[in-house]
Amino acid sequence: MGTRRDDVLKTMDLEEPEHVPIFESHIDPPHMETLMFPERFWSPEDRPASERVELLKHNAEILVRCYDRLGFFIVRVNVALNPPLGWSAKILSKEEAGRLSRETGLKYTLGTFIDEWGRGTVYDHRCRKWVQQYGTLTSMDEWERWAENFPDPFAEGRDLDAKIVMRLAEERGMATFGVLRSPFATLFEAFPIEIYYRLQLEHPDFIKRAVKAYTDYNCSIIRLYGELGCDLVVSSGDLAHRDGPHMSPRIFNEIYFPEKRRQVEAAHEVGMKYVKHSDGDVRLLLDGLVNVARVDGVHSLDPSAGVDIGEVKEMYGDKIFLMGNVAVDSLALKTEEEVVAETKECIKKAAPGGGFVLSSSNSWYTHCKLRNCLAMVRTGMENGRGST
Amino acid sequence: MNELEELTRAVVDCMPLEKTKEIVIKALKGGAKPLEIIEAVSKGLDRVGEMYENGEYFLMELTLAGSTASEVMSMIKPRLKRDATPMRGKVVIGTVLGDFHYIGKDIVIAMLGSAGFEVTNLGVDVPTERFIAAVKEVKPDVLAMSGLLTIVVDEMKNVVDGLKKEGLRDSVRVMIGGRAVSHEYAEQIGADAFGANAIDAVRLTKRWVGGD
Repeated sequence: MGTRRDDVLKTMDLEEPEHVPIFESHIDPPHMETLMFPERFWSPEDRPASERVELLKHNAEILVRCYDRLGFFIVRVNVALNPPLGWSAKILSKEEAGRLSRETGLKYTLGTFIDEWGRGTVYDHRCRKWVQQYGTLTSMDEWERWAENFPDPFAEGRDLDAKIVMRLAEERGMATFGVLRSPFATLFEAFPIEIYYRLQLEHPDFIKRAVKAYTDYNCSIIRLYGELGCDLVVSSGDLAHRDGPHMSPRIFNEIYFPEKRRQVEAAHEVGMKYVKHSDGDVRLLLDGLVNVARVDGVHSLDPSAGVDIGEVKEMYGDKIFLMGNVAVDSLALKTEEEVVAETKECIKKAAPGGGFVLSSSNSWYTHCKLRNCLAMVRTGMENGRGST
Repeated sequence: MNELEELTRAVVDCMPLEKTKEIVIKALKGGAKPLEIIEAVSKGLDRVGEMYENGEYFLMELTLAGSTASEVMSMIKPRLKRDATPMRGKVVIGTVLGDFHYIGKDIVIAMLGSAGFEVTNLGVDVPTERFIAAVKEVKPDVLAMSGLLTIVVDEMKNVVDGLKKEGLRDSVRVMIGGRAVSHEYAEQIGADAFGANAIDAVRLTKRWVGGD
């Protein structure tokens, strides 16, 4: 009998594994603590900044053991979005928050934390994680000034917890995925979205240059994931919303997907597969993702936005593997029985012939009912074995 | 093409804001009435809405058209007040507590504004009490709530329940919108309707208030 990692590798090669792999890209700390009780997932408020290294190491251990306990096949490694050692966040002062609010009409608050990428984030005490608020750059000039100190992929400390996750995952026969943020998302999150859209429409050359810079960063990070021994990378950041893509597929095909292809090629050079995640209705973008960007897999396939995994399997199942798509809204709002039925349907449509990883259509966030999440996993375990 | 037609075209083509503002100034100098300006913008937004629904335009164009409309509305607002131009109806709108998303809400505001409605924007992360207080103070025809995260849907129910508790529910139509909610959810919590997108939201408001 092979390991869980073997099943993942077969799946990514579009072969039928012994068992359909199951995974989640993220679980919010409150759920993780319930699952690992009495152990605690440390939050920034639990440990002073001077103990960040200990915090990262502690949480890395809990993460892998939690994923292992759940029977997941793949665990997350984060180098791309970890700030380096010694980096300290800029916190908006009342005056700065006021200026930004006046300029953009958005609600910036005292204490908004600006991350390494110029994105405003706030700490959500209920979910115990940093969530994006709004971008804090308001013009091309501001971006240029910010880019003078463009984040260094090789900066010391980004991979502090990565080696721990890799070692623990290897001991357990689990596969590992490296986290990336897509250049499209990183760029539009750095600006209030209207400003970003105006730049896209009126200054496409600036956008191209910026996307290239983010892509260069990602390519370096991909090589680091390769050196660590990761099996795949998952590029987060939504390209679509419930009604469809943010922008015309033509713009994605001309500007973003050729740069994505560079990342896919970088992943292939170090023996990894490349997966693009997106919530929303991505159907108009799938052709570009498959034929222009040439990704190996797609994650989420948001059923709440109308994406039918069976239809995607029929159209692209011979070219890409699919990861999804039990609706996160179902995990939050429906009954256990309904989630079981939805999971079975998902397996029935997407698992035959291989090339399918079972997961929710986003992640297990705090508002999801944990018993529904566990029902999804249990159903996957019971129904994902052998030829399905 | 006269200035008003030019303005409609500027909205449809998502022209740079400065250029659009120049057209508005030119139109006003040429004697256009504020209501004619609103009408021209509204025509443009209707066309953008059609193109969005037909799949020719995407969120980018819808957002930019909405932001252009907002800018134009703020340019002519003082004149509207001065001329005591009657508005079509009142709408109070906000994103519910725990949610900072604003794009959909702001597009709705821009489209309602250019359709002749007086809109009170409560912003994002709005607690129940603030919605209730605004309904008491503004006495709107429609209360619209937006929420993108599933985590906040209970907040919408809290607002509807709060309106009932305060005896205000029958005085106002309640519309909900955003990724997290649906027709079924609207029915479940006792809202009057779910607006699937900005175009739908404006359609509903016009039907309720504008007599369309």
